[in-house]
Amino acid sequence: MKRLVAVDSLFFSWSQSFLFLSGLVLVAVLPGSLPIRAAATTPSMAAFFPYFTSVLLCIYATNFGQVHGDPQRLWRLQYSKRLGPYLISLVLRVSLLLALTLPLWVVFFELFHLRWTAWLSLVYLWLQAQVWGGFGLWLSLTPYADITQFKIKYVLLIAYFGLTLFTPPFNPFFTLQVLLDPNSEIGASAVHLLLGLTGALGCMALTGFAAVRQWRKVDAL
Amino acid sequence: MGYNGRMVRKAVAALAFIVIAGAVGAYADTDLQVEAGFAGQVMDEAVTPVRVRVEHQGQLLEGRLVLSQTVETPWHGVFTETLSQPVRLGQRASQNWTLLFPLHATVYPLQVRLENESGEVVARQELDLRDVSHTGPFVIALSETGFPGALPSGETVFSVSAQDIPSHAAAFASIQRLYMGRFDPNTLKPNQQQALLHWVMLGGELVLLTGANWYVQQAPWLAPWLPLEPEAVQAVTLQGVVAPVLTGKVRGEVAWQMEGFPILLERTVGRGRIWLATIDPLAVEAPAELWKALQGGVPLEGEINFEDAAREAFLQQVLPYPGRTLIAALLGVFVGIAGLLTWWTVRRPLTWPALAGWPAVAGVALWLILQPHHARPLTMSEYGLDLALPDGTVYEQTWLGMFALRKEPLALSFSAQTAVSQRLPTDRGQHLFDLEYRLDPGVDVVFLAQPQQLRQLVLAAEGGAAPLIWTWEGDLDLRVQSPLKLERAWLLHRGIVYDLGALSPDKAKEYRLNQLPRLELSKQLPKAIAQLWAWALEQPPHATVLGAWHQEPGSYANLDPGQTYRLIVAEVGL
Repeated sequence: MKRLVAVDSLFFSWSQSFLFLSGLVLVAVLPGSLPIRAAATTPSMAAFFPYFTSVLLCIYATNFGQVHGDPQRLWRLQYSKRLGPYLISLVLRVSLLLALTLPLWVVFFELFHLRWTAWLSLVYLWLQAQVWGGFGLWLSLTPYADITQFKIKYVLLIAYFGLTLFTPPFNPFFTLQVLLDPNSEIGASAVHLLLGLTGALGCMALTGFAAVRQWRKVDAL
Repeated sequence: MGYNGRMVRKAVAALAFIVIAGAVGAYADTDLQVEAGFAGQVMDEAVTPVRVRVEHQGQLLEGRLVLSQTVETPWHGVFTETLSQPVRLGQRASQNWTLLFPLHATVYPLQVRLENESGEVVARQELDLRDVSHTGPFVIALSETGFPGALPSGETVFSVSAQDIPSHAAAFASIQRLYMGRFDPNTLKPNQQQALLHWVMLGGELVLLTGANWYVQQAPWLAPWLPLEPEAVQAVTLQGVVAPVLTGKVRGEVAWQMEGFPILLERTVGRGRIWLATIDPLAVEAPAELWKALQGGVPLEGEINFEDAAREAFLQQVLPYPGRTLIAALLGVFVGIAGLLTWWTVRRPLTWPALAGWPAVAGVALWLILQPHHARPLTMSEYGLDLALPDGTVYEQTWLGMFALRKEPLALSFSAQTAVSQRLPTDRGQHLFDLEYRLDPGVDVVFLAQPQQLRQLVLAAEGGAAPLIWTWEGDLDLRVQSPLKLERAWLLHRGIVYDLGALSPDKAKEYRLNQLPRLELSKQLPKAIAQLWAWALEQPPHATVLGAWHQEPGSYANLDPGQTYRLIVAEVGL
């Protein structure tokens, strides 16, 4: 029980640090009350907030997944070896991570007068987080050493955000830009968006499937 | 009896026929001929001369001629601009009118109808303005020998005849420049001459192409304003070509010269200017430099360029955002509460029910952040360029919606003859730059129209339309277009403060300055009023300053910062 509390505490302190860091970035990118003449020539840092938050969210979601797959099988013990509640717990905790930052997003949307499609970006970010949560779970269940897991995690994260720049529909920055930019044409980018969302869903299924397989392997030992 | 009855029926029928035929015949042959603008071209949002000719073949007709245009705008909705002129036409008579109509967007047709006394339409005509719409101000030309439609300067010129020249400066509002070629200015009627000079003083440009044309161009009413006191027309060889050149004593600036001869002269008259080319560049092949010089010149003081002014006003607006400190503090509170909740949660075996508190925390944080006090409302203002017509009405030439931060001063340039009105519309929506704004009728914008010609200062305001104070040259002609009553209006003119008393809304009033009571700056005056007068007295001696208070009657003496007041100060005069 003590260990369980420790893990819970870890989740919440991580959630708080995520909230604090993204809040810090939001405050940094907030526009000042400038005359329009000056504002027009001052570069807007607004886009940095969703980009930064999306990267941070993926890292935290992976960590959550890793903690879920703790070698000590704490969580499996808690859920009495039932897979369903175990995964639901992960999904909910990752969702909570995003839900915590909801006030920040509302402030961001309000201040930059974004349209309704901006809310879709939260759905997209939620999908992303779940993909990386599943990946974290799979990773933790592999027999690799911690340091190897760390390397794999960040190599994949960098590859994901960097290499997908060449395949825009699958790049989260591109998708966020389409959804958040008030001047972007959603209609013209519909195929790209659909591909992006489908890709995210596919990855979610893939990582989930891989995690479950790995779970069974570990369980069989 | 039966025979008599038939006779009576026939007589009645015949009489009825005569009456009906007479009634129909009375108006049957009434013909309307309508022409608007200059050379058939009109411009958006400009007071436009509309020439109407009525040929009436029937009996005496008394009624009115009505010009109207139904327009739809995002803010005003659908409205109809109407101008009516009483008419009395004798039997088989014809008459011409030139009416100055404030034309709105030219995509909407202009309706012209002639009504009889009982309001029945006798004749009507609809003018489709879409095909005759001209972009930008007009360049027109007066010449008896024709004038090219396009000049080497790149200007598109519309040739007009003497009778097309408006008889009131307001109708010149859409004209930027008037070229006068081989034309006798004396053929213009006195009121046309006066309007033309008035227009130049308000910022218009008159270009005289003289040379050999000078023989017909000489006019006593125009001579004192020219940049040259002419002496003779001489044949001069310029660049190997013999050309007639007007010579004389230069009174203005030499804008361009050739081989020592001043060819293009300019003189600032009021806020406009008069150019004089000593050759006729259309008869002599003039170098391109001459046309280029015509596009330059000394910048005119107070030149009306409303688009620039509007853009400038917009760029000076401040878009308000909640401060970083505020957001950071709220975020800190949010994280702190979240931390406390975490501390409490990890000590309970049942985690998830405790999480119900998290949305509550988020809700409180959001509520705090989105409070109207922090997300300060943006106010939309409208600015209109108003022109006066001879009948005393004031027309708004154009308007602009913009966003402004409360109490943010603006510095704009307008001419003395421009009244800048500010109103708060009651609707809301998304317009300029697609920003969402919130309208708060309790908030007004500090507005300073600069530099010298007109000042309107709103210190603070209540809801409702801002009063429009408008003046014209000469004696003070004041019109307050406002539902508000203005108290203790005063006028500073040549160092003397006149007491205008209370100004009733929506009424025009004329004042003779020498008949008005004077006010003295005494120590008994409330400090705020004394300060404002002191400010007014600091203005240039030639300036005329008009001020008035709007407040609940009887309490103006003690200005309380907590109260709302409205002060309008308009500086007018040349």
